[in-house]
Amino acid sequence: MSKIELRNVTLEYNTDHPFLALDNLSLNIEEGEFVCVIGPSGCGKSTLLSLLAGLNFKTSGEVLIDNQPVTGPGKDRCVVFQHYSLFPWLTAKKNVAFGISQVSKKSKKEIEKIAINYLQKVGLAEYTSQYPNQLSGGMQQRVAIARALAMDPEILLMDEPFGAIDTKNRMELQDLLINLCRHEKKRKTVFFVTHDVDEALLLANRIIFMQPKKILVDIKVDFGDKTERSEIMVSDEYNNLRKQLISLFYKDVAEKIGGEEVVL
Amino acid sequence: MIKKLFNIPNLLFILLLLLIFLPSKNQNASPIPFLVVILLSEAGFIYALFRDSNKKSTVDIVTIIFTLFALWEVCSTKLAIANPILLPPPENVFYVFVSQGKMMWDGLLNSMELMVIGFSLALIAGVGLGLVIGWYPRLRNTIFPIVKVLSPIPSLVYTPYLIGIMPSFRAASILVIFLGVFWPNLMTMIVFVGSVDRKIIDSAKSLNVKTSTMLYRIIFPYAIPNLIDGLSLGVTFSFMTLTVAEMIGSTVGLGYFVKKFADYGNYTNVLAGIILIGIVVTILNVLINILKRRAVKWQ
Repeated sequence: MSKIELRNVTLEYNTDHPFLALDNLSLNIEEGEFVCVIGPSGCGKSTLLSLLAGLNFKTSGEVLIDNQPVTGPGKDRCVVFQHYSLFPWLTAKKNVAFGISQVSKKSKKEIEKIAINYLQKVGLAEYTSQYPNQLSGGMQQRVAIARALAMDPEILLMDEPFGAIDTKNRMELQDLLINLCRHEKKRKTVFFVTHDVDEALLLANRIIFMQPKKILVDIKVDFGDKTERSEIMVSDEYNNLRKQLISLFYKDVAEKIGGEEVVL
Repeated sequence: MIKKLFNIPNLLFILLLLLIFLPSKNQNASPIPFLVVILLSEAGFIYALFRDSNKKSTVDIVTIIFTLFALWEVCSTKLAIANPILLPPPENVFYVFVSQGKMMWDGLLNSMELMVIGFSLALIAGVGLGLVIGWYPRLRNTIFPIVKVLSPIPSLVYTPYLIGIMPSFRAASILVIFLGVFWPNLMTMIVFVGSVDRKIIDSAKSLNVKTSTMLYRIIFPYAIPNLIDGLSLGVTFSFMTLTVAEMIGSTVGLGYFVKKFADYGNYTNVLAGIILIGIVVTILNVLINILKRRAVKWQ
């Protein structure tokens, strides 16, 4: 039994202009997998995530988590968005504590302790009583990650969480996420949406490339015993996979423009 | 330091002091209350000047106030060109705060009591119901059109009717204030719930919150800055409504104070009452601003 299972899922947005976002899509994700979903914008990758989060609903097909149909958000899942994951009227500590209090019945003091502990893990020990608008974008995402991990979900859903962050901070956050996921007692299943090929290669052990409405390619990523960014990024496996993925983007662009012989 | 003090308001201040001590006509009350008012204004001005000397508006405002005082003083007591009944000397007007102090204070307390009750009930009901109605589409689609019709009717219009049908004036004025604040509040809240950023709602939903948590711990705190902005207008408006209601049907309160003496043609007391109402509204608004700075630290 897979952790997450999608069977022939179709989703059509029922607005004034009906729009087909996902077309007959099937996908299985196993427990503990770190799946990165990449693809051109508008290909349905965020829609797919919102379906798993229980914020959006399929038109037909089946969306199963632990063999149970998804009917809405659940305690087993947590989402980190690109923007506005945090509540602006709560301090960093209270944001994390609020998340924990939704899934746990511990006393207020214990919850605060856990919150501070997780903020330390993401390197924000000195910023616990700052409001989100007093923190940089990167710090805000650290708080959001701390909140998600503190809630201890089985599945972590991340929707381009580092998309709006500058390169240096993004690298730091990627390393942080890798470390945190490695050190969890039980490996979390992660569903990570991004449009950055390098980010996907670095984080994932499985990459799904989406073409509008459906999955185009599904690749396993394994760099053997290499764990450091510097080692991985110079390896042949890495560069071959990278070329393969980039060419998929080019192909997509070429099709959009309408000619085969587009020189980029 | 000396250069800082050398400005038009301070020249006017000295002029005012001279004017007060010059012989006067028509004036028959002690000038001390008026003097106290001028000294307090000057003290406030100097405090503001040294706290932020670049603020031109402070200088301008005090210039206008002192000019008005000086004109008033000159026209009514020095040249005596104004009708002493229609424009009584400032000394007499400010002395009313002493001679009628007890009645004014009681009236003030009474008005404030009615206002606090009516206002807080309206705030709680408007916000509480607005959150729920705004959240459920079916409720919103039914109730919002009705609210849109009812809320723009000024509560002043139905004040005489409410005074007629309610068992006591007290109940009637609380109801008048309640309705004056409730409708706009309800309407703002319903609109606000519909306009909350989707991202905030999604983020909360993905944390598994119950509907009550969503309404009272997510949308409500998010709405607080908006609510406080509306509060200032609401307080001014409801105080206005209340004073009018008191002029129509009460035997206590600030509105009644003004009405009663206007009926007797005692414009000295009427002016004092009007000034008191102005001061009260100003103090209420200052309090709301302080509340805003305290309550909304996150913006």
